[in-house]
Amino acid sequence: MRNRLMICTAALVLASAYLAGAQETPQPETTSGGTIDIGGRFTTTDGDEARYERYRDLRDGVPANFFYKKITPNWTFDFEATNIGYRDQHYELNLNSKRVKLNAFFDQTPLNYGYYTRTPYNCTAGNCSLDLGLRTQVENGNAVGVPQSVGNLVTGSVYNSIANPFDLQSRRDTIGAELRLTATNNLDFIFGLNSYSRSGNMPLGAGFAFNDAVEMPVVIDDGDTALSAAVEWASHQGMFHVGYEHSKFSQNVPSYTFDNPQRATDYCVYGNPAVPPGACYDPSGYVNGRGPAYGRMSMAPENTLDTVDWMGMVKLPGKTTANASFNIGTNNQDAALIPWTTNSSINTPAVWAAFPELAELPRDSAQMRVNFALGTATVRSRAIKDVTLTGRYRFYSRNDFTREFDAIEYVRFDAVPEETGGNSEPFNINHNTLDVDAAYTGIPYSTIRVGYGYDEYEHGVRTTQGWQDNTARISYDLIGNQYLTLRAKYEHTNRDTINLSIAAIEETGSQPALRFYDEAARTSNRGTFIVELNPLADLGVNFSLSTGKNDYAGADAAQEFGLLDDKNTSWTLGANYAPSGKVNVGAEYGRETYTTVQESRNANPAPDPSWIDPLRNWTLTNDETVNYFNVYVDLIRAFTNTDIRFNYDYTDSDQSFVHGGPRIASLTAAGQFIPLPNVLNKWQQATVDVRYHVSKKLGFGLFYMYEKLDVEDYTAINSAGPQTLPVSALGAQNDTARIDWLGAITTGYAPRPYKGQTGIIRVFYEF
Amino acid sequence: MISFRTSLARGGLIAALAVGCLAVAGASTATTPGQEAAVSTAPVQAPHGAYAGTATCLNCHDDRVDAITKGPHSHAFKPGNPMAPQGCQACHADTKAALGCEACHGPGKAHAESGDKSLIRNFESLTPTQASETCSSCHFRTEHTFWAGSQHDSRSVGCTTCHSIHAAEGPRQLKKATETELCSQCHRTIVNKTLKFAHMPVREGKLQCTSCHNVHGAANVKLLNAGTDVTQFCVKCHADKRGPYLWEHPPVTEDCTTCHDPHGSSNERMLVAKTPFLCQRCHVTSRHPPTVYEGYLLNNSTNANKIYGRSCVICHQQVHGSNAPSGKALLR
Repeated sequence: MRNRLMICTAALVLASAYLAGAQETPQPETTSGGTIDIGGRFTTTDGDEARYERYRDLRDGVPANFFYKKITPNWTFDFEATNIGYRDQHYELNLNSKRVKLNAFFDQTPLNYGYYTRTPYNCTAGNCSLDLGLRTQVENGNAVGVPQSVGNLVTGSVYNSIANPFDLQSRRDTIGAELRLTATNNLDFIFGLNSYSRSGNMPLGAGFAFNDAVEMPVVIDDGDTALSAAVEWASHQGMFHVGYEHSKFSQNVPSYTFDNPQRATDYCVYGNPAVPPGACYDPSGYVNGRGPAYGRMSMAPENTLDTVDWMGMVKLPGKTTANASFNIGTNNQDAALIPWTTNSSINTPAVWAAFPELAELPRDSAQMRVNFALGTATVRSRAIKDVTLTGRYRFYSRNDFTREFDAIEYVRFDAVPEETGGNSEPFNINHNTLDVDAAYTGIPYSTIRVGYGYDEYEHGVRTTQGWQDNTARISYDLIGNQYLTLRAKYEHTNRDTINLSIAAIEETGSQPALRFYDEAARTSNRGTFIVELNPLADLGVNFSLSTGKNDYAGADAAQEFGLLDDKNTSWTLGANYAPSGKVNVGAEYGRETYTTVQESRNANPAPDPSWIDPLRNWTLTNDETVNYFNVYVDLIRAFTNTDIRFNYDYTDSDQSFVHGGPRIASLTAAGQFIPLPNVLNKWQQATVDVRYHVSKKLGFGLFYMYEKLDVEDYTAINSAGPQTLPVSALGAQNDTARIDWLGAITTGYAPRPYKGQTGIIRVFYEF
Repeated sequence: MISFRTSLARGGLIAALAVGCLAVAGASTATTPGQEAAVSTAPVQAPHGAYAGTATCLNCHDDRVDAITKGPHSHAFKPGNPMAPQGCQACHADTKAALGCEACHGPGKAHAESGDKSLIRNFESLTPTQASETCSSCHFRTEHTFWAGSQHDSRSVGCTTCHSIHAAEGPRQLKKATETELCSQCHRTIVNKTLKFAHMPVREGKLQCTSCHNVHGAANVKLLNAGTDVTQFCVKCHADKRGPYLWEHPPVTEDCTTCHDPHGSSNERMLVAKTPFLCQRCHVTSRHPPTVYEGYLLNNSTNANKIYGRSCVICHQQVHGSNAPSGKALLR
């Protein structure tokens, strides 16, 4: 009896202990807290300060960050604010509960071009004007406007006198939100908003003639707003999602007028036998600059995009999953069209008599509509042990329903009416892709996969009707082994063109042996290899190699001009050592090489004899070598209450441009060839982030960043250097810009060196 | 060239196939609520007695408690998720609710009683594909729709390759502190490009890999998370390039990456080669385009304006397309 009693007692105790244990299942906790991070920032820069900042705002001041999060058993909420009050500020919140999931954010991202830039233009929304008095001086031959000769370079442009430095920068403001409402266990409603606006200035070019171009800081004021709504149903067998989105791109500066630095009035001299009677423009105006007083260009047009899409996924018997999607959209654009030209010498009855199409536009607005369609279907099955079969089909189409626009008669550079234009053509695309793959996983840790892909791309307008790719691929992946991870892949593709049209090539004024590389026949080989060794639990060594080659000339024996081949190789070697949770150190080196070869013939169209003269052929070999190096040290509480993070990144690039061929030989013999120097850049950044925790809530921090860019680039024209003959653009790189060089007035924006240092002393408080 | 109507027909065919698949799935799973769970989720296939309960698990694995008190699974408010407090959802229908640890690791009573590690689902011993099957039994909505057969799935990159429930270091349970750090394990050469002279604001923290890519699978190419092709993806943010334009530049309309490398480049505007040589890869064989643009012209001729600064696009500034009637040559 006593034994029975003891057994019963023991059973009750154990049962109660079990029940107690069951009742002690940890439950979600209610917690809240956050961080206030505030301090003082000090930045010094030598050289191109805007390039140093680029997408950041590193001005001196008081950077502040704030973070708050609350978690309850029923909902979570977090809010984050970074760089408060600066041009790169960001705010974001998340709310998550049983029925509601919300993400919303506001972000500003600057794009800083140059603070050294100068311009004689006064740009407002839609107009960039130049001083009329100076333009008149230039037109009358009393001053240099756009330098036309080395002598002009010594004198310099008269516009230097009114070109003042200004900050050339723009900013993108984005607001976004996604709200997901859970109606039932299986049904969600999803609403989205994404809207951005751009403001500020950006450099934009414009030409009046081959020898008369300008770069201006045009005012930009545009943006896009997208609204979406969707319904999603899901169960454990699958899901289905259907949605609609409306996007509208708004343009507040639909066109630009811009003054000609070479002329104050539209060129007009009667009596030229090459123009219709009563007309006064110069038929060579686009070559010699005798064109309009100002020009007008069209900016990105307002448009809308409406899309309806669905996607679904279903789990089938036999470890098989299928998914599919379909998306159909309409892109409408009906912006008002600007006139053929602003040139008063062309907008005359005498010219319209000779060019009747220029009397009025074929239509007042673009009246464009393009439809898109995308469909995908994928089936993956593991019905057979150790074998995975995957099939995927995808099609995409772009169908242009726009009526042709007749511009056979048009006005070039706002300077010269011509009949050499053409009709716009609807540009259609059909793209079909089929991929099938089989993978075998029967070998421990390993996956061996073979696959085949067929890709057919059809398009209009171009010199081919499209192309067909046949791709074979094989890959091997070894993963899950604690000592070794290995991934390797090889892919071979043959591309054949569909109905290559030599006549279409010749219609573009090109040699029949030219091929456009993005649609040309080619043979491609590509391989990648990644290995990671972990001989010790705290030591990892990794190596990666990838290499590829596209051979165009070899795939089409008739090709002589254009891009003939390109190849690239890149490899990296790195190591990481983390002996404890407190110490993590690592380093990596990487190297890339690129080589392209292209060929051309410097010729005028037939019957000019240069057209068939192979002695005018020239080649360009463009090589680039890039090096990377990274080292980092993380010491987290390795010293009392102190976190230290150090990181150093380095990359450099050396790009060469080697011309060759008989044309170069003849130019060299005539003393008219100077090789372009290599373009070099070297960027390095070191950061140290130290945080000392005084208590659990209070800490101090010190952040320091050093960044340096060295760059030598012939596209940047410097103000320093000899101002007497011979003037040379190919001088040593520096950070001061010259805005007047042969054939153009610019803002001076170009790659330029800088050295920047930023320090932040901060206090952070956790609550 | 196929017509738009044909495209619609193909879409309809895909829809029909999808409906068919749903019908097959529906037929194969047309069961009572109590049987419904037997389809794909191993944990609820087992009888009640096979489960030990979360508290039992934590008797030994007390270092894992954070996963169910603080991790995202602890605050999964939707019915059907592991720690949702709604109970075992009306006889298991579509749920792992309140299963706790065993929602993912499977019934653990036998393991708890014997200590035999082989009697519990240990993710470290699973292949990525097997591990992903467990995760995708819940995570198959919206951004996970296209996981099956996606590029990563095909290369044995599974959920646990990038995510960790118990030892995450970054947001969204990532195994590394940042996306860049994580993705660079395989895509090192791509990540290195973000350090180049011309780059997107990735290293400044304004964008990250998933700003453009849905690593879980996508309908678009290159795992792009929106749009219908490369260009239609890029114009989601660069809507000023969307057009359509009266005068298109076909390579632009077809694929932005013909000229730009979005991951970074040594050339201004992230061009894949320096202008004018990039333009001369196609425009090379008559009139002014095939001129040999070199140092002599740069120093002595007005043709220098096609070499320095903006090069070709100082005049052909509408290189992405022009809406001006006289814009055929992309000059206006």
